[in-house]
Amino acid sequence: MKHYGKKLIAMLLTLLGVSFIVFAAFEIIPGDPALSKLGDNATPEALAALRAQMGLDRPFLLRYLDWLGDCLKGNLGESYSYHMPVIRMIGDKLPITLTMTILSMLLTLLISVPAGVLLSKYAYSKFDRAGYVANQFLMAIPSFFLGILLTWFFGLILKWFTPGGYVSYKKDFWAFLSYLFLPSIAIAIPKCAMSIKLLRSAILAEADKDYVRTAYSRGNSTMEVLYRHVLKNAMIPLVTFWGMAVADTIAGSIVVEQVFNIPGLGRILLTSISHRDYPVVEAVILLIAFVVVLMNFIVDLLYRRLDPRMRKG
Amino acid sequence: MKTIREWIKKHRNFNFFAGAGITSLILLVALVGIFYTPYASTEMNAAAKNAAPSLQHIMGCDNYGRDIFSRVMEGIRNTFFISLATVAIGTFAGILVGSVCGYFGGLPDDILMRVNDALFAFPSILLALVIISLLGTGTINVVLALGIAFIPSFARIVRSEYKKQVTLDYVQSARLMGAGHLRLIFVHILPNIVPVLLSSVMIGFNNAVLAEAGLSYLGIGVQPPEASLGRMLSEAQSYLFTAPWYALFPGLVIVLMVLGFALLAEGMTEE
Amino acid sequence: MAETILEVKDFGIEFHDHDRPERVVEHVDFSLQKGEILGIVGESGSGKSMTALAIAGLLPRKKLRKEGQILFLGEDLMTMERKKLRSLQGDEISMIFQEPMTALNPTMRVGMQVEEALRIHHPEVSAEERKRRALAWLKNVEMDDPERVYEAYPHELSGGMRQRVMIAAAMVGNPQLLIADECTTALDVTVQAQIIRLLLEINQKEQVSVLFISHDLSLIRQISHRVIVMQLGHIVEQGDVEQIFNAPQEEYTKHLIAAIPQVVL
Repeated sequence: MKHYGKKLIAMLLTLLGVSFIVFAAFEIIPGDPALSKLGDNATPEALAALRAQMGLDRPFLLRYLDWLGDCLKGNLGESYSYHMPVIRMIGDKLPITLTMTILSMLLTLLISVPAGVLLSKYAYSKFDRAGYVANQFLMAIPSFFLGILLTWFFGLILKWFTPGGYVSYKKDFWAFLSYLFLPSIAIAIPKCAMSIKLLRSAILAEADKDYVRTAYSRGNSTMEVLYRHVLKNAMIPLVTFWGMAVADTIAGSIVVEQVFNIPGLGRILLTSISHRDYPVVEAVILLIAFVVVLMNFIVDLLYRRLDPRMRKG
Repeated sequence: MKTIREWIKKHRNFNFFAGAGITSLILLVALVGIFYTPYASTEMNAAAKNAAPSLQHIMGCDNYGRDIFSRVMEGIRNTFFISLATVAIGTFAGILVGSVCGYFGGLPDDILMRVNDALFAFPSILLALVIISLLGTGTINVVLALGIAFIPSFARIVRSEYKKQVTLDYVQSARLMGAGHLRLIFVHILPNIVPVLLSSVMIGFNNAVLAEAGLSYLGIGVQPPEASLGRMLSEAQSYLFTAPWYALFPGLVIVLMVLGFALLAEGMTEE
Repeated sequence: MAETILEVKDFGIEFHDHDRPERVVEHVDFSLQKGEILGIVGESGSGKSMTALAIAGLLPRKKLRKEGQILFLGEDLMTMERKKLRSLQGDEISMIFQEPMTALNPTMRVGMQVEEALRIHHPEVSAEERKRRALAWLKNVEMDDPERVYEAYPHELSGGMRQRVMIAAAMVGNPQLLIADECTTALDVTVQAQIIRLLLEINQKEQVSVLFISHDLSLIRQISHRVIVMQLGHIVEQGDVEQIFNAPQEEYTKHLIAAIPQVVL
């Protein structure tokens, strides 16, 4: 319990660091937020008044603390170009990106674990070799190119779905989910290939260890040794990998959203970058980093459940 | 020379040769692309709009009738040099930060690593996006953004290697012989972490290729009319039905580029 | 007459790993009676561990050719169906290994590993009964706090404790034959002595036959009733412990005995 407390504090510190970096980064932007809000032909008096109103004349650290307090209250500022609270703009987009991320992480797990086990079972055979080649190929495909290929094949050739026919989750949740399926596959497959490769070699490395021989000496069959003993140990490095894959998966969904024309966080981020709508960019980045840190925290807890050697005291 | 030959002998395996083959082919195309392309990459030809692959245009033509092969050559060149510069920045800065942190340890190390941890929460392509949104688009800014985005991961690797090496006997004895900190960091320890660095540089190069392609796919990488593989893919998407080759070839080239380097890296670490 | 548990006849192993087949064990004949402790001593490469692994059915089937017979209670383990062999492993034939640090599964609770043989071979035994027997055996191997050890993970125990856990796990199914392959080598001397005393006690109480393999002659002398000396895959000499140590016939045996460090106990 004490340990979890420590981890929780470390996570909160990281979040604090993340927020500080984001705030600082957007402080050094060349240009004046007041100017960009009022436009080029604003009078100097109006600018000064707005600056004072926005608190831009106060010291840096104070402004950071104010901003942090606002963030905690859910006030992420106001969009320059849409003149509405940022939180309202991104609030209903977050579930879309999050669903895609979770779906592709789930797909990665569900595909890679059985496939990795299968490859290790037939290690060094022709099947294993073919799997190796396929894996190397899939790892090299950028997920957005895979998305284009999937659109082309399933959308245009087989006509299984309508490219661009995104349905909002508010309207029809199941149609929404089924539209997100292919994009999630596109994000998941390169990660999947890496997991499969990693799991195969982890299982083979474990299979050489002494405790496996002990397990055989008790009369376990090959299957029992694999499922009761080897697999859990082989999963330990995998969990670390999956923890790091979370960030990539979110980044991947931002890109792949464009391929499938999904109005998620990626769309908002890109339009606000091109409009120089900094409060929105800032909020989206902050949100994504928070999700990554949170996911990593969960993975870390999982890791501790899996590996008793990490559980101390 | 002898050591190189021995090294090649030791690493003679399928992965190494397949990777070296693909990579040198790509490199060759990139180098030739500097001096010669079959057509000018921006030459439009209304008659050849979305033309299918043929003997005149081996990869077909795009929606302006530009030769895709010529544009792919230029795209490879751009991607290659951007990735190279990115990795150079990441490695150089990573070595600086990582070696100092790993060698000296203590409070500066703690602080920098905390910052590093926080930076790790941003996926590198996202970090690059932010930096570009601050700096503005353009090739140089893409290189800078990606380079900076790659520093944390390099620094982390270098740091942990230095932490390991510092405790070893050869460092202690060099210190007893009177070697200064700088000499220890760069003359004694650095050569010993080259193998680890080399493989992470190669993985880093691949990540740079993928990130660059992703950024230009999103429209914030290399700006038109300059050709880039990622942007070609995003343009090709509108013509996926009428001209699927437009998407296929640039995409396959990215795959080959990454695959070649990955195989090479794998072959080099294989015993 | 005592019951013969194990009879090894003209046993040999040939490796086919390299271009040329390599014979690592040849013409090995011996037998083991009920309740007897047979020591096999030899240097590394003498084939003693190979022989032990073969009897436990743990040698890989590929790249390896075996000849001769290993009769366990009259049945040949080498020609036996795999499933039948598995039903003996851990139930009738148990084995403990050299490295207690790595021979236990790091992510499985000790208790689960101790009762695993019961779970596999005696599914009719209820979970409570399994736990009761596991705890009883943890007590038998002189654990101070069996309940705590039962719930612990291997990394929480010392080397000597882990080896005692291994013994408990090997004995929980009441086997006829216990094979101990260099089981004290990785431990320090005082712990070694405890383990030897423990094995002697268990042998007396349970009448289990023990095949004790070691390179350490003084340990072999302390524990064995009979001794086999092996060198380069062959049996050099075998006989009662007194005969081997007091009146060795072969040069090699004399050599080994002369090399024992003389410690006054």
